[in-house]
Amino acid sequence: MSQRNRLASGGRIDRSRTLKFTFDGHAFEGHPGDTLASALIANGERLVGRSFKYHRPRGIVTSGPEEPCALVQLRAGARQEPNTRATVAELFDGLVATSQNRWPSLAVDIASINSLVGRFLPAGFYYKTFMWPASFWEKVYEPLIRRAAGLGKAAMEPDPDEYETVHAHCDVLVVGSGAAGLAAARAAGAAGARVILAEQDFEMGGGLLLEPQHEAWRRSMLEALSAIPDVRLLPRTSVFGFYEHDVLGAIERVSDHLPVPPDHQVRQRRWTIRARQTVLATGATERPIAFPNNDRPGVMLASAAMTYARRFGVAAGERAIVFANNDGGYESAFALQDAGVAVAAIIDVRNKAKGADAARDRGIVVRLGSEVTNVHGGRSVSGATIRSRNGGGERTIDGDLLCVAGGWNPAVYLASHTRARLRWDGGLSAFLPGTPVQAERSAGTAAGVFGIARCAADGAKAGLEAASAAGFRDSKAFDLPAPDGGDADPKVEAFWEVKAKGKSFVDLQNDVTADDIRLAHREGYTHIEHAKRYTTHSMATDQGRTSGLLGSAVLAEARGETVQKVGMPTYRPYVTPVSWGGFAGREAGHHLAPVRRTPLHHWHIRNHGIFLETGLWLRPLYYSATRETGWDPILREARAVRQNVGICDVSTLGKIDIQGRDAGTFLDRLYTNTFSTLAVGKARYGLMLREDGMVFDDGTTSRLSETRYLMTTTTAKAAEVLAHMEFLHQTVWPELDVRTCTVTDQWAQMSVAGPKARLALQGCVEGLDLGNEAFPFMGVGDARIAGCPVRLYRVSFSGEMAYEVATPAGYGERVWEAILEAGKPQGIVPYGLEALGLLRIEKGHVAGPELNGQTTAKDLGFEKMMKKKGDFIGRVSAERPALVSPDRPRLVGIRAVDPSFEKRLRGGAHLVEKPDSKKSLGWATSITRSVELERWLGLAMIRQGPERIGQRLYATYPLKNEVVEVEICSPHHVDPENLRVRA
Amino acid sequence: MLRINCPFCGIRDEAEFKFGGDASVKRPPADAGAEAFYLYAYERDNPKGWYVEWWHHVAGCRQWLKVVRHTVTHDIAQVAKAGDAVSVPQS
Amino acid sequence: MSAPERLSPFGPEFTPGRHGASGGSPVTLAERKVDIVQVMAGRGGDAAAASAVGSVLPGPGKAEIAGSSMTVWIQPSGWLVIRPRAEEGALARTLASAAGDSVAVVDQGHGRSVLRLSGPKAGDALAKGSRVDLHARAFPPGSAATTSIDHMTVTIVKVDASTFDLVLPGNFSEAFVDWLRMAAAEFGYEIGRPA
Repeated sequence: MSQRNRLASGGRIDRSRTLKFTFDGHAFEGHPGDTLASALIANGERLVGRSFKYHRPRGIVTSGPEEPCALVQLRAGARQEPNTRATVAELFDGLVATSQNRWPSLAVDIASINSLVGRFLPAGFYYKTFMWPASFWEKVYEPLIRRAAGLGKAAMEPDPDEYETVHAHCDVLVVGSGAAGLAAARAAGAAGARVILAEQDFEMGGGLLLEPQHEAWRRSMLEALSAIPDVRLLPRTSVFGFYEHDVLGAIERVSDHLPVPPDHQVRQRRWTIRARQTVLATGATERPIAFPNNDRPGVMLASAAMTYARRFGVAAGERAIVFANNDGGYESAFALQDAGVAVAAIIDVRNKAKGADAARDRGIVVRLGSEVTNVHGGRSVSGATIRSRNGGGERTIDGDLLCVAGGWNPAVYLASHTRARLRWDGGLSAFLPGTPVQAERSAGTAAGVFGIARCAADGAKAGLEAASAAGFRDSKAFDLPAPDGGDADPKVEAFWEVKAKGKSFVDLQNDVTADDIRLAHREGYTHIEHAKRYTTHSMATDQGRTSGLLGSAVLAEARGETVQKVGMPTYRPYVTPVSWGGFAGREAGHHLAPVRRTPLHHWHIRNHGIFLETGLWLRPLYYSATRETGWDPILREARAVRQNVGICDVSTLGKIDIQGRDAGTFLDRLYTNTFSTLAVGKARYGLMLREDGMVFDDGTTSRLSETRYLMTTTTAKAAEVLAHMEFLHQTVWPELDVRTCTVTDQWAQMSVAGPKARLALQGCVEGLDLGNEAFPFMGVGDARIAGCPVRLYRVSFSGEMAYEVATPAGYGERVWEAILEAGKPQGIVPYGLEALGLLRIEKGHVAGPELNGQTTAKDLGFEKMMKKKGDFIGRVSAERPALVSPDRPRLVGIRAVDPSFEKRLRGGAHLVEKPDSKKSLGWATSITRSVELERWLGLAMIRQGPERIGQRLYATYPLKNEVVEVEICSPHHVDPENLRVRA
Repeated sequence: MLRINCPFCGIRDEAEFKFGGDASVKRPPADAGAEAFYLYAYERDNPKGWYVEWWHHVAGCRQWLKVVRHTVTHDIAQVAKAGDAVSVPQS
Repeated sequence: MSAPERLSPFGPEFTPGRHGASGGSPVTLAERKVDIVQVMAGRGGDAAAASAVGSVLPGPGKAEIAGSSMTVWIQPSGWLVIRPRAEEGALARTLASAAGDSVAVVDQGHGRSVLRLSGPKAGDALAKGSRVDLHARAFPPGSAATTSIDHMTVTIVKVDASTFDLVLPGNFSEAFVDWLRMAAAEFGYEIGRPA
């Protein structure tokens, strides 16, 4: 029969609509308002998973996010999602769920043999067993453990859904929407504060959802909250972390309850919330008691059984046995009885109980001073063995549901994240939040307050205080629920474990027993943090929400100390598991990082540029409309530059505008060489050091007027150089009159290089005489091209006669195309990053591989650029003995002796004296095929490099077993006299 | 995530800033010698407790700020302009 | 001689049209055709800068808005002067000659772009990525803040209750719109004509 455990009435589900779903291939039905767990229970499904270590059969234990056992796999294909708690998965029509950690099937699980050999799998088993030999770890042990443990399986296809991360600010954040949370939000909202109310459930109300008599109040509160414009209600939103400076993280499951997210909507949204004040109304979770076989499907927290009856209209069993150490168990028992579930007995460890008479009046057998010593049944509970704690024999009770009421763990997790210490409450036998460290306060059950009316009053007070602390002091009264007098006494007998033979589980998710914790203690892991890690207690995805304190209590007994003294393991984010999608948000695939496009980007796309990511930039490596392969397009472009003329987009170079009376002085202190003497209208190559004496950056800087310079930096260091300049000006030399700002984005810049560069430009430049005398090497001048303003710099990276043409970015394409058109007779071609690199290596110009942060000016042959007079950054440190040692590797050129491309050189190759030598003299930094010399060549850092010019060495690359004979030469393979750039 | 109260822009996220290291060291005068520059370039305290450090409001007003931060709790006692003096709490 | 028409930094796909969710009032995105000049006063140069700009220079966190012109505080003694687009480079030249040596004037007319975001949901779309609080109480019209949105440095100017001008780094203009398209999709958005 479908939904055989569904009650005829009651609960918050919509019986008028039916939702179909499958579990392990079997078709079932449920209703809107169900979770997967409540629908499975309605259909009589008990066995929903196998445990992590022993593969023991497991059922549904809780009704909320603290669920340790009912982890299932949801959906299929690309949306397949492992390790989802069935207790929070909202049912939708067509949901496909499967159990996990079982093979070949849930009912018959071969690995459950672990359960029989369980005594060989004690705490620390993995540490002890899989220690050696070390080589076994990767190949044998780890795959074995992984297959055995397994849990769910992630989808192998890309996630088709979208996720986003959003920012929020509020005056008061309220976490949890039970009576305390609703009242806090209302009080703060009415005071005028901006409020965010986050609730992990899909329905607002928390414990109120179990209290039909307070339904009208719940509704009126939600209506009132919805009517306040500055109150934002976020259902399906778990606050997972409370970070420093009152920043909290939350995950909103926007579309998890739908088969597919609606159009233009995300699956999940991660919130970063900056809250001036926070009210933590996070409630409490019931905790288990350890006794033998307390993990059998059908052993459930008493409050969960009550929740299934009251909220979901399902009977979790037909005949319940309740095992309690506090009055909460009686409330659950009565709720079950009211729902038509037979209550076989209440087993109460206490000798006196307030609820005992009422229970007996209801015809329920109450056994005071008793305990459960065993659970019968394998895949489902069939009964329990009980005994009196005061002596006497054991007896057996039949029942298919064993409800455990072990007391309450207030949800102190978020408060603990702030480093607030916990406070022990002897009456509740539980830890409560201590003195707040950040701007937060706990309210309601999270603060140890029990009962709807008391929680609401506590919440209202907390909300008002929070609003007031955030500067909102209006207070508007609203109705609170009247005390109904029926609230159970929250006092809990500090009873944690039944001492009887068998596996008494403390941590159900990680299969940690009370004996495991005692073993850890015996082996010296007596600190709670050590015992936790040794046993894996409270380290599973449920973070020990139900079991954490129980584990501490077992350890406390072993240590002979109080639980208070032992304490709890530190709570850290995340309170609840958060999907990777939620963390990544939009930053996945093509949106991993924003793309920085040069003003010529779309020209490159239209003209077959093949792009490379360099930082955030996309730059064309080369252009190829045909099917050129390998080096062909690169060599073609580089030859064009050496023989005719080429044009390259260099807009990515950093450009910094520097103005002020002291601009020249400032530059003199930044660069190793002098700029205050540079003539207006001229450019100069400059070298910057770091304060430790290493080379920082290089580039050409031009003087535009007496008080204005334009600096260019390398593409990679643009941001760093500006920050460096701002640091020095603002903190070291504030007396200098100088102002700086980036103008990198203002200009499209292109290098026109080659022996025919002047000819090509003369065809399009207006207003500037490009003749060598009028506009010599290192000249700077303004002109127009195609009607657009341009600035020309006669500088060269390729070693050819070259001009850099800068134009305001919006004119970039027009100017670029005009130059291409004008250069047609000269055979102009666009060239990319690869040819640019080839040309600069041939010329011996340094770049990133040489300016690697470990080279000095002297290492690179720039010692003459170190001015003798005046201070500059790095001047003193550069003279340290180790940095001027003649043994340092220094820059030279290397060339393959073989004049062909047969045996390739590689960057990173070591230079050695004999082919089989292991003694490295240095390494190759940049390598290319040469169009000028038709062989492999490059740059290298070699000890006593300049002294070795003319020698032959071997470039060895052991990873590929390559050894190439090379000749050491000047780094300037091309035009060492520098005649071409001045032509 | 730190929230830094920029004296110019107000309270802003750490993401707008870049860390700039110990703000208690001063660049020595040009003639201070190799040892002074060695200490300036390399020697740093790594205190458990209050620390005065540079933060550059790089995605904001581009000012270098002195931040007095507790290295254990992340509490920030003071944020000052580059040229202003800061006081470090005793505890 | 006036320069030819420039290419939009927002790229070829930023063409008028409606996208994302339908119904309701869309968020409107439009390029503003403006001149932008960065003004940085040296010590004692604020008065000269104010006189050259011809208006009160706003303090931290503020923008002085007059019709389609605005002056936006971006750093101590530093502002962006934004005016409807006129002759290439003219605004920078005029300001430079009026302000004199104590003020650095830098043309950023191509180095920055201005995107106008408007509509009842404009603030909601922008707030998703804004680390700065954009709530009316914290950020009334006339407020300005430079912050980081999706790793890009953006200056947000609140023009009126439902209108924001975003000053973007020119080379990130397209990337920013990529982000904004995603943020605004659930509300629906419309790309308007440059104005």
